[in-house]
Amino acid sequence: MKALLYSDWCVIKSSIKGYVLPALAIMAIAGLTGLDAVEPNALAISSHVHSVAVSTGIIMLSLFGFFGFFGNDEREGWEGVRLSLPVTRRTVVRSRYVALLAWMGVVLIAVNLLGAVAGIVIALVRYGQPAIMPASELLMANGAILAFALLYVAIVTPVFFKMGITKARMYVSLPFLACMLLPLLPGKEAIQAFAHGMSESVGAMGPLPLVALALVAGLACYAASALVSERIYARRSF
Amino acid sequence: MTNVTYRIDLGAGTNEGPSVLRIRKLSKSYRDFSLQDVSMAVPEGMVVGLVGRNGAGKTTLMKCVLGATLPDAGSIELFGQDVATLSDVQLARLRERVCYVSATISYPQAMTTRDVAHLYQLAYPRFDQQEFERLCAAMGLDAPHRTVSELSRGMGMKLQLACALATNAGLLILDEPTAGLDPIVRDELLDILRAWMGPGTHSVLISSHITSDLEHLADYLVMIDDGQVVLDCERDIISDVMGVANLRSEELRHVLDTWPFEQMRPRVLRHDLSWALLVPDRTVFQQAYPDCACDRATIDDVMSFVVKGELR
Amino acid sequence: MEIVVSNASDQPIYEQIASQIRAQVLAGQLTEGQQLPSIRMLATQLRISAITTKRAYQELETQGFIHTVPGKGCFVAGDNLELLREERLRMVEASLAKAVADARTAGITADELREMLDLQLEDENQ
Repeated sequence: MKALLYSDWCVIKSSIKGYVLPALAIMAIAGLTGLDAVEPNALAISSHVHSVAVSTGIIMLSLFGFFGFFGNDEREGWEGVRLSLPVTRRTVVRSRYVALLAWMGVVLIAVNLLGAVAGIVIALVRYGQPAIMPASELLMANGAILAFALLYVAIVTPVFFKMGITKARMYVSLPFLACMLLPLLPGKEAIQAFAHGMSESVGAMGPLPLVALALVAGLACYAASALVSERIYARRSF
Repeated sequence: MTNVTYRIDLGAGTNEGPSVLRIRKLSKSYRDFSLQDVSMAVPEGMVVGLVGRNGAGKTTLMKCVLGATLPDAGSIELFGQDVATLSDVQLARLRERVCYVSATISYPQAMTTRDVAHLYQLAYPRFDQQEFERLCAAMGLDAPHRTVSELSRGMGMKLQLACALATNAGLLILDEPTAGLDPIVRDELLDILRAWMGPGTHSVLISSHITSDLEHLADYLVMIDDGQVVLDCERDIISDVMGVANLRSEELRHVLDTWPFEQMRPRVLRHDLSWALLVPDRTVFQQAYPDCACDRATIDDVMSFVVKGELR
Repeated sequence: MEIVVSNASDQPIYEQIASQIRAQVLAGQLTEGQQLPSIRMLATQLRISAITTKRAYQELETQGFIHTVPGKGCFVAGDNLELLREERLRMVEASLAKAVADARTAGITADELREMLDLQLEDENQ
C-alpha cells in the first residue's frame, strides 16, 4: 500500500498549485454573494468568512483531489501498469480510499487555517476588532460539511472504480439529481412520513450531537463504499 | 474469425523442462478478437521471444499473466504454482518475483526519476538501490530530478529497465521494450539485459517487432497469430534447420505433390517472378530436391509466411 | 579465446563454435584446465542463444575436449593426442565427402574416382 499511496501523493503534490487559485476564487465569490445576510459586526463577518472558506473549500478541493487521482489513473495506461506491481486489487482500492481521506484531512486543516486568518483580518479591517468563529459553531460547520463530503464520495467512488473517470464523469452529479427527484417518486407519502419521523427524533437532539452522528454515519458509508468498490474492482479487466 | 492458422510443429519448444511461467490453454474473448487455447512456457533461465502482428494477442497474453486481465479459461502457473489456487495475498507475494516493463512510460507524469525508483523500492521488497544506481550509471541515466514527462523515450525505457532489473525478479516481462528507439540505445538496453541473464536464475519473456533484436537475444521463439500459437520452438531451429526455397511454378507443383514433411503444411508466398516456400528442414529438402534453391530462414521470413502466406 | 560466428555459413552455429574451440585446444591456444566462459556468458558475448552454446559445449564434452564441473564451470580437458588423431580423421573424412560430391556433380563414376584415389596414393608413396 505504501507504494500506491506514494504514487497518489506524487500525483496530488504536483497538482496542488493548480487548485489553489480556482478554489480561492470560488471562495471569494461565495463569500461576497452571501454578504448581505450577514449582521454588521466583527464576529458575524468573521464567522461568515470562516464558514464560507470551510464549506466551499472542503467541497471544491476534495473534488479537485478526487478528479486528480482518478484522472491520472487513465493516463498512459497507469492503472494497468499499477496492477502489474505486486499488490492485490483490494490494496489498490483501499489505498485510494485512504488517500482521499488523508487529502480531505489536509484540506480540512488548510481551509480552517485560511478561514480563521481571513476572518480575523477582515473583521479587523472592517470593524476594527479581530474576531474568530466560536468553537461549537466551528465544529458543527466542519462536521456537517465533512459528513456531506464523505457521503458524496462514498456514493460516487464505486462508480469510478467500475468504469474509470472518462465514463464515470457523467455520473458525478447523480446524487444531486437523485435528491431533487426524490419528491417526484411514487410512494412519497411513506418517504415523507419516514423523513418526518427522522426529523422529529433528530430535532430532539442538540445540534452538536446531531452533527457528530452525521459524521459517524458519513464514515460508516465511506467504509461500506470501500467494500463495494473492492468487489467491483476485483472483476475488472484492463 | 478470419483464416484459421495451422501450427508449425518443431518439437516441444518452450513447453519442455522446468519453467518459471507456464500457460495452459489460455482463452480470452473480446468482441472482435480472442485468444484461443494458448499454451506456452518460459523455461527457467531462458529468454522467450514473443512475435506476432499488432493485435495478434501478445499484449493480451501478457496482461493475463500479470493479472491485469482476467482470462475466460485456462491456467497460469508462476514458479510452479497455479495462480488460481492462491489467495490474493499469496499471489501478490509471488508476483514480487515478476516485473513488467511496458511499451509506454506509464508512471504519473509528475514523478521524477528518483520518485519512480522510490516507488519500486516500496513495491518490491527485494529492490536493490545500489544495483539500481549501478545500472543507471552504466546506461548513462543521471537525471534524478527530471520528471517522467520530460524524459525522452530512450531515457524512459532505461529508467524502467533499471528499476525492473534492480527488483531482483526471477521473471521479467517486457512488452516491446526497444520499439521507437535508435539503434545505439537499443543495443545498450539489450546488452544490459543480456548481462542480467548471466546468473542463470533470471528468465525473460519479451515481445518485439524488431526481430533482429530477438535473433541475438532469444533462446526460444513463440509466434502468435490471430490469438493462437502458430510456432513454439528453439530460436536456432529457424536459422539452422528451416529454410526458404525459391521455386518456379512447375518445381513448386512437384514439391507439393511429393511433400515429405509432417511437421507442417506447405506455406507459400507469391513473388513477382517466383514462388517462395517455407521449408521446415532444409537438409532434407535439399536431399529430396537437389535442383531447387534453398536459403536459410530468418524470423522475419517465418512471420511473413505465417501472416501473409498461403496454406496449401 | 576468440570465436567468430557467421550467419552466412552453411554450418550450424553450434558446430562453428565447437570446431573453433576444438582447433584452439589442439593448437595449444587453450590450455588444459583453462576455464571457458559459462554457457550463458558465451551466449551473451556472441549475442546468440544459450541453447546454441549449450549444444556446442555438450558436443565438445562428448568428444572429450572439455569437462564440466557442477557449480564451477567448464574447463579444457587434458589428454589431447587421441583427440588430435580423431580431429585429423574427421578432416580427412570431410575432404573425401567433398571429393565424392564434386565427382558426382562432374559426372565422374565411382570406379573413376577410385582410380584417381589410387593414383594419388601411389604418388604419395613415391
